[in-house]
Amino acid sequence: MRLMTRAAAAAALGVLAVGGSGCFGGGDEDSGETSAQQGEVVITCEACPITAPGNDPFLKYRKELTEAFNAEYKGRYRIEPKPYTPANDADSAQHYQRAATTDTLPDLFTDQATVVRDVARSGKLVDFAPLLEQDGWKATFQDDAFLSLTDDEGRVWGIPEQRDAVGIYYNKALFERAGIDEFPTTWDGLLSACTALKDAGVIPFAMDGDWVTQLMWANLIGTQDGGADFLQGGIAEGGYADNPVVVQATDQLKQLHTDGCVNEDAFSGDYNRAAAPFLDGQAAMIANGPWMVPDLEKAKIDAGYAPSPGSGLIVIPGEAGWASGAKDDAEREAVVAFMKFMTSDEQMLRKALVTGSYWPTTFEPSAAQAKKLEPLSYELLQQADAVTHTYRHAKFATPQAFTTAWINQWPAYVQGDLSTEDFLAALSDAVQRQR
Amino acid sequence: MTRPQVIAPPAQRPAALPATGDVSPPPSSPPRRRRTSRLESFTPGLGRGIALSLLPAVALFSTFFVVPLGVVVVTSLSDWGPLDFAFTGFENYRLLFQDDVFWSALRNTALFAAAAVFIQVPVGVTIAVILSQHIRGWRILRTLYFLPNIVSGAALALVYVTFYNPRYGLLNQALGALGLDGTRDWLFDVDTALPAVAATWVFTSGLVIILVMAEIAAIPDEVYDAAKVDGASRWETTRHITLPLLRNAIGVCLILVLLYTLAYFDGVYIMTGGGPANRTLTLSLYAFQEYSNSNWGYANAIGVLLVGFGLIVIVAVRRLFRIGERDF
Repeated sequence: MRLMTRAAAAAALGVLAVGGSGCFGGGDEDSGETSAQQGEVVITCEACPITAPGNDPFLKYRKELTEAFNAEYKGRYRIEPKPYTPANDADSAQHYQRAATTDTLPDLFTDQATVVRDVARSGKLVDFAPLLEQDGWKATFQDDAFLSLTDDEGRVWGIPEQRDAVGIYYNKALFERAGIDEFPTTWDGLLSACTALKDAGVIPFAMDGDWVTQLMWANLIGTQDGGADFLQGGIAEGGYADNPVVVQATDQLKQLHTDGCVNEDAFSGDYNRAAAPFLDGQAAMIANGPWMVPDLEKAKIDAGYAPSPGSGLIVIPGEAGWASGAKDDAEREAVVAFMKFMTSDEQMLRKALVTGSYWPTTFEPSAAQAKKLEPLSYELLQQADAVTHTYRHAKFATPQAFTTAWINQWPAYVQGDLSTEDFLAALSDAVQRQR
Repeated sequence: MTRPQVIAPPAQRPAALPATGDVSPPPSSPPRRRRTSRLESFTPGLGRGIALSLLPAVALFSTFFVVPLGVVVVTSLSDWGPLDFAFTGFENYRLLFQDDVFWSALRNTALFAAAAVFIQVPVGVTIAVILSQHIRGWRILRTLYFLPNIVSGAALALVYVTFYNPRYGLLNQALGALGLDGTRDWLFDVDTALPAVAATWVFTSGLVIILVMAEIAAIPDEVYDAAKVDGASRWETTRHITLPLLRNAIGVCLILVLLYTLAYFDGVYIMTGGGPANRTLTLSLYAFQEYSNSNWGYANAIGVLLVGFGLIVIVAVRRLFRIGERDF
């Protein structure tokens, strides 16, 4: 009997709780109606953090961007952050593909251009092409800004927020110890530098079997004639073993490993395997983007930042973009207001100052503003016009299966378990299968 | 010496004692039927009550097991990705059997299973038998052996990633100190990757040790007393009494380790991601990779085969070891 009484009491509490939450829910609805009555359009955003724990500059920037937008457009538009933190790139891609299938896409989100274009196949994304034509908005972007976010029919599925040059960092002290005066400008020069660095007891190049290794692959391909075109389009098609430029670049990258120019643990696919020896002052070179600068400062590495040997530079224009699943005109209007706010000169400069990552717009900072920017990465970006070759990073034009296959097959290939043709065929198969 | 005789189980178990408060039927009444009907007459709606009390369990089991399993089976017959779905019959299974990567994953899973059967279980049984002799410090040793079982597999894998690291790992440093080759990348060398991964768990026999020790403790002392009277040595007692009577426990251990190897994922995912060149890829990891590559139907076909292999393992080991039949 006592048990029954307790159960009844618990049930009653449960009912009260449900009723209570219903009341609170009603309150929310009321406030929503109030907002609606006031004409405030609320849009959801999965790339807008509520908090920015740790020292992640991108989280900090986006949190402040969201707050600044909400303050600027108070009473008219409001971003409601619904932060989503994916476990990895594949997780993020599937999350948005599922959201598109179930018609639950947020009004704002970001992802890599390949994912955004994939999600666009659902027909649930906003096409920004006609919107960009209004009020000369498109003219505020650099020419190549939308290259990766545009499909074959000219539809634009996202707005880019950055455009970066990815070069090669080198440790000046280690170069000096090996008697190397300046960063090599040719691939033969890089091999000579490798020998000198090894003789000085230094790991010449830090690699990881994935991101950093593929950056060097892109450099080796992109600095050959026809390489940039392959990285822009052909790489998504497969058939790599039939492309002599790709075969030669892959052989050369393998040679860097077999000649002992690379750290011994360069095969895990874990970026930290490359970053750690460079930041510890054991490795002399690493390819990476400007976002590595805060780590260099923390590690107190006196680093230089140079284009690739062969006069090439990876330029990443809009490889990630802000996309929208907004459903009605009011939401779309709010989304466009946010995109314009985000790409305004003021916000682009603030982003560069906070994250060290640069703008895809035509913004020209004043001399005083430029002085405040991080010198290594900003100077490298300026060199993009001076180098012979500029090209994309291989990773941004390929699906997840390419990366999985690379990490899997690369160690076996370097150890001689696979021929170059077999290795490239495995990559091609992975890409074609996922397509 | 003659083999000591094992006490045979009684031909018939004694009838269960009546529950406390149970009322014995009058001598004249037919025993079973009458009692059931009287019980029902005293507690009307008992059947409904039992059904209601089972309902939550049935609902939970259906929601979290039967329905998802059904979905996996049905969608394994489809070409299913985030944006597309089309029934394709047994096409995924046809492709699987032509897929070299699938055969690599199956081979690796079978090798891991063999390592579990021929190393992990024998090691565990041996240690359990030794510890059951109550050697000095046996309780501490038992706890130490069991410790890896209470640590997360992912955390252990991360420890081993560092242990095997070719640049600063403990293994290579020790080998180097001994004047041996201390430069090998154990987890990413095609020749050593699979044994290196297997070595991270194959000697972790804590669960086997605990189960077998519990079974040894349950063997009646009379059996050992009889062997002692017959003059059996400690080795003969172990060989002819203890080990045969561990049939049930060893069978259960085999089922557990085999099912674990079929589902083995976290360690290999963290340590090698299935590489190099699929040398450590398991079926579970391959299913995950295909899921990540948005080939959901194909991934589920692998999942269905895994369930099938699991059922075969359970049935085969149960039969082989006559699990459930008591010897004492």
